[in-house]
Amino acid sequence: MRTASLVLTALLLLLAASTVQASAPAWTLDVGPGYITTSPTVDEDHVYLRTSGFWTGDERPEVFAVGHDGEVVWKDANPNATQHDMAPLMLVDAGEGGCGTWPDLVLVGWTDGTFEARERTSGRVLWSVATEVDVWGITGAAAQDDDHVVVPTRSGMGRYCFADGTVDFHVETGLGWRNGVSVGDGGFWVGDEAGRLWSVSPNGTANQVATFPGSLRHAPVLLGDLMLLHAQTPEASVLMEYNITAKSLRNVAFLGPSPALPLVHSRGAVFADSNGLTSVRCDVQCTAVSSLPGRVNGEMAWASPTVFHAPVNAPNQGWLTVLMNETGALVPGVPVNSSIDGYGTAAPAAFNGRLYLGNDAGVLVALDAAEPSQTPVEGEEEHLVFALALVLAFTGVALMASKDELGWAWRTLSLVYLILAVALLPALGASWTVQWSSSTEPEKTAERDPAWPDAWLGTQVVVFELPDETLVVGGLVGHATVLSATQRAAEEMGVPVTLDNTAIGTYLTSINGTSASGWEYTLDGNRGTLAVDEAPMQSDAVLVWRLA
Amino acid sequence: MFQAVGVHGPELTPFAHALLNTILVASAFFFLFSGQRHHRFASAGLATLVVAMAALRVVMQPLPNVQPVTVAAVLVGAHLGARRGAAFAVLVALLSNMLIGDGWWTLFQAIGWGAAALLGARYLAAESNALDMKRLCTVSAASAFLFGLVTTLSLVDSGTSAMGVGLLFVQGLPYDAVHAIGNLAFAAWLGPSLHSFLGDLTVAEDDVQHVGDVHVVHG
Repeated sequence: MRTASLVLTALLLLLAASTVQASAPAWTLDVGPGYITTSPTVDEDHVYLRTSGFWTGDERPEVFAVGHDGEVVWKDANPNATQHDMAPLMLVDAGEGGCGTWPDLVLVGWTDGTFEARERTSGRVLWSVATEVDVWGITGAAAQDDDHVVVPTRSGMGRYCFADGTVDFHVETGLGWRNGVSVGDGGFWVGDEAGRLWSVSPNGTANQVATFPGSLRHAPVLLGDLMLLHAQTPEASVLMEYNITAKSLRNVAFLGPSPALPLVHSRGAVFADSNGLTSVRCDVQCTAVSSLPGRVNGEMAWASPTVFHAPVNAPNQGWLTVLMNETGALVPGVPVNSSIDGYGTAAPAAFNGRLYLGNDAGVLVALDAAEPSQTPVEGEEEHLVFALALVLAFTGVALMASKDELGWAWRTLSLVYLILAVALLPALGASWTVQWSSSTEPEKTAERDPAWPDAWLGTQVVVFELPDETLVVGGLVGHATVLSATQRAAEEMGVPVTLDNTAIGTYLTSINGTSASGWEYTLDGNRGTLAVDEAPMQSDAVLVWRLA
Repeated sequence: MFQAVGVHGPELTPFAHALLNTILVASAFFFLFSGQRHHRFASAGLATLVVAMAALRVVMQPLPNVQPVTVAAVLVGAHLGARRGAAFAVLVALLSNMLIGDGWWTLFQAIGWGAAALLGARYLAAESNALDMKRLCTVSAASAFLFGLVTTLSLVDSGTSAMGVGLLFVQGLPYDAVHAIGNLAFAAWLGPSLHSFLGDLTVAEDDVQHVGDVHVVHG
């Protein structure tokens, strides 16, 4: 008993030391309504970022240039963009090419189909091109090809000159969403929502080369003769390897739902989804070599050649810090936490020892990562007190045991374990339920009403079955949880909802003032088993709220 | 009878609700007053314990699945027998749910705690004055999972497959584990006091029994 108590105390001391970590913000900037869904990009002078959302009132998405002191240098809104703007901003240094010269540029793709080049110092639009729109326009990452930019448009691909936006070609492929472009030796690669992989030659001829069992929502990862693609199915995803020469497909791993954009390195890539991170190395073939838990659904970014950050798309979990060693193994580091921890999909941008963080809170935070914390951020004191209390309790247990007060030692120990169990239950219970839900997925039942507009296909739809009427909102995009989609739909319909935040999750208690005997939800016909803030929402899910 | 299937099982009509509560109260009285007659002191003590445990449950309700009633049900079963343990379970479930929410699940909670009392009566019968703490902890922890299994059944409806029932139980295991840990804490902190209190009730009943025997002999 004595030895065990001492061991427990030592373990608690280690635990306390490893969990108490926070950083002090150098400054914060509220960028107004909307989310920061894509990673900030940084140069010597500015931090560039954009906001996104599903816009219905007068507010619209904006693109910002912010000085390293936190002052807004310029910003501009797009009055025509109403969908979620998730195309990453792209910085291009000044240069000269076949169609002229250009200054330092920030390139912006919008969901109204506009692709524009702005002067970095002033934000002035130097040129813009209009591309096709089908509910939304550009949502994927563009890529540089010498003095041109290759842009994934809604239903195809365009190549434009940096200097003046001259169209080199525009070709039809398939309808896409976040489907970035990759530039290879023999042309360009892009995937689409139907799971088709397209090869586009330098002269603009498109060929479909393979079909995958799910939507392709990232730029294909090119690694010599091999290509990695993370195909997203309604409930999960599959990571596949495409051999360009042999034109063959091979499964690499079956992974979780809602994949993130992959993080590429010279010998492979890191993939992520709602279940965690997966490191893949490619030699003759590609192999999954390591994994870590964590819900990562957005972008990841390198902070150094061996360390990267990944946003955890869950409350109060901040950004993961992960070390990748030479074999591709992933080792968890100390997470980055800030005062805005919450849902998020944007990776931090690292620049000169500082991290720029943004997430769904719509606040940009600059953290001086190299400096020790000077002032406690929200939650830090509570963590310290909790850790200290645990250490004291276990020390007390050890002392009691050493004095043969076994009865009191046992009572104290049981109380400490109960406190720990209650504290851990919300996170443990939710992940456990998700694990058992996803491993035994029920058959998906279509709940889409044929009368709904075609524009809602492939988007999230929320239905409120009120006692006297049924309200429906469609065309929602990018909501990771049932809570987020419900709140957005309620806001759009002007219907108040009330929530009850409990220790084991958030529950919806009334819609439009009606609580009756309770509300329950179904996702694609399947009864919800998780609290609304924990229930993941697929990109094309139909969420129905009914009275119990 | 059932209006709808909700997240806690069927939603009861007012009539079904009243009927269920009547059946539960009737079963509690049946368990209390069937069998041998009990001393008034023991009955009053048990009633006090019912109120105290219901109040404690209401107070501790914000803590997820921390259930002080389970250990009490085990000890009541051990000291006063399975029948009065079951009556205790039913009355605590009814009384506490009047304050924190009554419904179809009350039936299953009553059965769950009744099962805990049965385990107490079967495996923890108080044959001596000393409390077997190891056995109390074992029975209390096992009761948590038994209670979880029984209350899971309240979620079952006609569309639930056998696999679905198993899945519901497995999904609830972390919550049952917290229930079990809570039971260990209650056993450590309240077990000796409850054991002493219930032991006094048993002694009082034994005294009455002996006095009764004397009257019979001399009468």
